[in-house]
Amino acid sequence: MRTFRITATTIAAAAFLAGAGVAQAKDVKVGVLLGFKGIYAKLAEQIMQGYDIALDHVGRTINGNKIVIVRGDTENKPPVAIQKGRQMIKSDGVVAIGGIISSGIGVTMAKFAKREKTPVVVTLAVADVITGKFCNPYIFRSSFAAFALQSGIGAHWAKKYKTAVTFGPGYAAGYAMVGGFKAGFEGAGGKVKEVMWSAYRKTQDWGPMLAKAKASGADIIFSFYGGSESVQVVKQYKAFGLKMPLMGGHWLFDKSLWGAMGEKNVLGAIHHTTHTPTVNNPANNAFVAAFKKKFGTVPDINAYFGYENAMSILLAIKAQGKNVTREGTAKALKNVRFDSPRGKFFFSKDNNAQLPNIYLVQITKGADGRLYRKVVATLPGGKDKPGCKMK
Amino acid sequence: MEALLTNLLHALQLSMLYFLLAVGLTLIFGLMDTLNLAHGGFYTIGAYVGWRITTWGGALLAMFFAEPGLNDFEFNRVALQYSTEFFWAALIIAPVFVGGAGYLFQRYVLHPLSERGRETHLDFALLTFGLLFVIMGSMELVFGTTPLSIGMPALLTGSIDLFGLNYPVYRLFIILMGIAIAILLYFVLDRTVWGAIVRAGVDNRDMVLGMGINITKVFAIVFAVGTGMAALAGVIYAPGASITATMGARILVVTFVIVVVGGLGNLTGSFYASLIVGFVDSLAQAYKPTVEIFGTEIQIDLELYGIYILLAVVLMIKPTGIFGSKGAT
Repeated sequence: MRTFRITATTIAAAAFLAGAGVAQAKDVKVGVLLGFKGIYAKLAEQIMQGYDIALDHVGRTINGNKIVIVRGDTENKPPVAIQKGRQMIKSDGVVAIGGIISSGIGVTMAKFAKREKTPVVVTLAVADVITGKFCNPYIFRSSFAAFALQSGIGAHWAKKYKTAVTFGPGYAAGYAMVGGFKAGFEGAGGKVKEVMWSAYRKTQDWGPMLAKAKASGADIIFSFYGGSESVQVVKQYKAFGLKMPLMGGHWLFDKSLWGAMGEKNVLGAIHHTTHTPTVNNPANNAFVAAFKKKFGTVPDINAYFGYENAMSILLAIKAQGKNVTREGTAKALKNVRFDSPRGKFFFSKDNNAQLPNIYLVQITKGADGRLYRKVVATLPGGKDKPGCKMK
Repeated sequence: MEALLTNLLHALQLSMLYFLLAVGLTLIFGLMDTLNLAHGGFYTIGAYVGWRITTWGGALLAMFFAEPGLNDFEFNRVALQYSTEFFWAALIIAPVFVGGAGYLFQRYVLHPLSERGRETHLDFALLTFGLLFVIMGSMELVFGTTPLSIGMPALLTGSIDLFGLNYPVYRLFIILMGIAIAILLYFVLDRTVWGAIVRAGVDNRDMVLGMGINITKVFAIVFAVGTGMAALAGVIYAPGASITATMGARILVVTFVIVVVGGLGNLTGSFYASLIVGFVDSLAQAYKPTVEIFGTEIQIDLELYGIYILLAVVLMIKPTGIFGSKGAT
């Protein structure tokens, strides 16, 4: 009797496990690694909003499989990201991992993707090496690389201006961004007369650099700054009334900084960006409408990045039919194509990176007296920094 | 010639900004031997209080003088225009407010602490360093992470012709304020009875107590003036730059270098030290020397390391500071 009872229990347990196994086969899981707490909490939340819209768009059930998003909090630390990533693969059985904001975690996860043979699609992290030195068939980046953006705009400005001087904070991101501009600008025939670095988070006065820029007689000042340093640079540039235009990306003229800069200092300024909500194309209009309906506000740039990140993964899942695997997803990502709010979205053959368009935006005043971002030109996106040997 | 003159003015401007930042610290650290690492915190509060005064002032005027029937956006615009003239009010109210807070802090936190025998530099350093983080955190909680700014008053906007050079008025204002504060404090400390009491209190506390002077109160007032100076620097700094919760942490090192190089408690010394540090920083940016090592051009970034080299050299050769006379404590 005893033996029988045990057997019965075993069979019941086995049946239960088998049942669970069947149920599991119907769930396709996607991991998302983000810093849900701390400095990137807000960003992470906006990215997840983008994910939500993408899920509505492609469907929460694809080819009969229910899509389940597994969140992993990286705590903004590379070792934690690896631990969570491994957990996602081993115990959740995810078919791909998305998310990832910081470049430090991006680099770590690039190596992780190759080692674990799991597709990782980076949402933000713009460091060149992720799809450069550390590129492999499993690492993808749905945002853009610093070099691609800045060399692209450099090549564009070289058509209009002959000489430039550059300003930037002397640390890794500053070197990458300004270096990208210099390569693009000089590659297209321009000449960078002088490269100037300020001491990151220490410099209070840009007067001497502005004086040097003026004395150099260059056509433009190209700069990369963010946050409070942007405010200082723009204000001081205006105070000296320099004739040469001050150019920079959307970090320099971020909307949240306009208040501190003052209207007269930002009105008319031109900057370049990978995207802005006023871009007029069907995909963008549909996205903005869906976002407004769901969340009641205009999407932030990070929601776009989240949306594209999710879209690329979901479409790669869709392309595989009923049987979805990690290997299959990595292969399918290579062929994902869709119209994103930023333009035609696809991963490059060479290094799984992409940047559809660069937009030139001017800050203008509407009839109602408010400031708006007006798209004045759509330029082709730049190429990534060479150096990827896919293996 | 024009470039040189511009660079000298830039350097002078930065020096005076540094002086305004460091003078409060000199008073507190030097005269009272209290290590106040929260100095940057009071500077931050000063900037935020100044911002609050200008925005509230602007909104108040707009309530009375703006045409009726404006929507929120238009109203805020009018308020913003009115707000710039409240800079002058902020210049006075913010230091008084923050000075008051400083007075209470010294009187009811630092003083009881030293009464109970916890008066080493480490005790004060731990407490005030903690306070700096509390202040940064609370400022971020109350005012958010978006950088703010104080509008420039009409009188200080634009630039004027100076020896054939177009120079922004606001920068000249900073230079003048620095010199004015230096003269004022020198006069008060050196030529008045109040100053004599403070100096006597520093040298021989018991003797002053024996003369029937409430030295505790005197020190609290000195602390209030010191923190008030930090707030003044915050307000003066804001229109040309931006206000963020972390702005206080960024100035900590440079102000301490000035205080040490100038000699502890030496007002004149810290004035000259500000000039030295300001000129090193500013001219290092203007004339960045490059050297060639193994065929690669390397920029010597004195702006980044200059003050540390200066500090190291001064501490090696004259540990009491270039202008200091009394022994280091």
